[in-house]
Amino acid sequence: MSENRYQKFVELFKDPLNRREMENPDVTHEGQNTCGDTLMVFLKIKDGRIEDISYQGAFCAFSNASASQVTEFIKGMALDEVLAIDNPKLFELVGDDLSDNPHRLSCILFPLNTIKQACKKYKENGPDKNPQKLKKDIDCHCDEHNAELGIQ
Amino acid sequence: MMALDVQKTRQDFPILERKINGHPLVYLDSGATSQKPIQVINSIVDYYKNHNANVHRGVHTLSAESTEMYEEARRKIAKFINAEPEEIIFTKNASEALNLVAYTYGDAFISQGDPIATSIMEHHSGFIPWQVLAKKKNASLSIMDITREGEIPGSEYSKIQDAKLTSIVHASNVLGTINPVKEFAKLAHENDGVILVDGSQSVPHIPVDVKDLDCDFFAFTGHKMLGPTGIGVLYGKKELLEKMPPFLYGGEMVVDAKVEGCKWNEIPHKFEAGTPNMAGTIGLGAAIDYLNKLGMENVRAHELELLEHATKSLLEIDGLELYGPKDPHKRTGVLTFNIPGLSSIDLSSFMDDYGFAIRSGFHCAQPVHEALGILPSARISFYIYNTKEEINALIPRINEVRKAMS
Repeated sequence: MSENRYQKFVELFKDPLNRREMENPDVTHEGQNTCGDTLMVFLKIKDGRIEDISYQGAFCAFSNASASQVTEFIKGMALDEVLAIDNPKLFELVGDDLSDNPHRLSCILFPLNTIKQACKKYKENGPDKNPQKLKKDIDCHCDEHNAELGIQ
Repeated sequence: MMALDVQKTRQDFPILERKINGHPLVYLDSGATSQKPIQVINSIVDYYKNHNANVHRGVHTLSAESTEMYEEARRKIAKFINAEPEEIIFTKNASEALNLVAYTYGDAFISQGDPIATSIMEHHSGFIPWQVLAKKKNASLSIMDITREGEIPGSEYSKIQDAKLTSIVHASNVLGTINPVKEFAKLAHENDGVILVDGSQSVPHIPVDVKDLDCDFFAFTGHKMLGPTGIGVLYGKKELLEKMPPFLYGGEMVVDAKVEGCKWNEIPHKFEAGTPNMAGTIGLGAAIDYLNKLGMENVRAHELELLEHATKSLLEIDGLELYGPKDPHKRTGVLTFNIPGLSSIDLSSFMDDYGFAIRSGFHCAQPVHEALGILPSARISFYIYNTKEEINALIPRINEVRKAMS
């Protein structure tokens, strides 16, 4: 694949920031994008500020790039500050507004929306008593399937 | 009949001249909508330039011509699936055709506790109407499961035998699976149930004879079979259509409108309220002419050839997980797959950089993805203008994208 304007997304896909599960988060939230992608965010909150944040799930490189940049940016921020992040700020963080690729816009909005849902949840209910766990990765049946087809 | 000459066929499709991001267009998304031959495009232009007038209204020359062209298209479509013209109802798409049955037959004849059967491999348009109807009527919806290979196992067939109404996709838009709907119709009729078949993915690709299938209703759409968008078809057995209430109310569907009550028009007009999509219908008629000229047996033979080649080629991609029956004869020309570590939407996006149009996501069939426990998927789908060379060009590009992303 030749280098293109999304090269930085590709680089972040190979080497994402903060993409991991978290032990003992204070709040989690799993978002689902309209395309079917799912992303779970894990937050540690201290004194109303984001002490740590991570995410994991099944999502595209565009969402991954957006999640990488946003999570890096909001560490240490107050929840209300996170809730106030608007699209122009998001585009600045991501480095692209996708104005000529609008059908992928939801990919970059998706992580911030999911993070905001988690922040709202925390503001309303405080720490999760039973934080959600990431669903076990979907098993890949390709070997089994290929064997059925007689392909090694 | 001569086999399909793909190079000659391609010359009829002006869009195939297009370059996408500097590359020749390789259109592998006909399962979503097919491209249109110049003959179909010209039929629409000719209609608007020379014949446009409202149908079934007035006696002037243009109205008579327009009505004749519209009804001629109905006759062509009826003949194409071996139905009678009055059994062909025009809708805006297959979704509307399926909903029409839910709203009219379902509303009139499904009562509390009645079993409705469908399958987990349905397109949303063949799934949600029954979910909603079952909820509204307090009826019971039973959903046939599938095997890992993407087929409905015999152990699920009793759901059809028990059902008052079965709605089933003829060919899955994700798995490609061609369901044995003739057998299903027999099972449905054992206990006087009726069966509706969603033929959106079958009519464009395989010869279909509704009398031979003996289904009660059959829905499909024009735009996946070389026709324009905005025109769909519902076939219904005459005796069923006659006893069903109308769908929408307005002009055309009524013969006697009085303050104290109305008398509905004869079928099929009873179900076609308002000014219809004349140009779309005539365009679909032209599409049928085009397919008849090629011969549906040839269309299928060409597709089988591509399927066999593409299946083999895709499976050479390391780790690629392909869904649906392994025997090409059991499926239509859609191949849906995932490559571990690569999101289908990224694949589709980056393939577009090379001029390849492929689909990604749930393909309006989320339940089947969940049943198989799979992520949103990538899909390539073929039609009469696709070539082996295009498949040969596809594989290294997929590998290239994959390499760049890992």
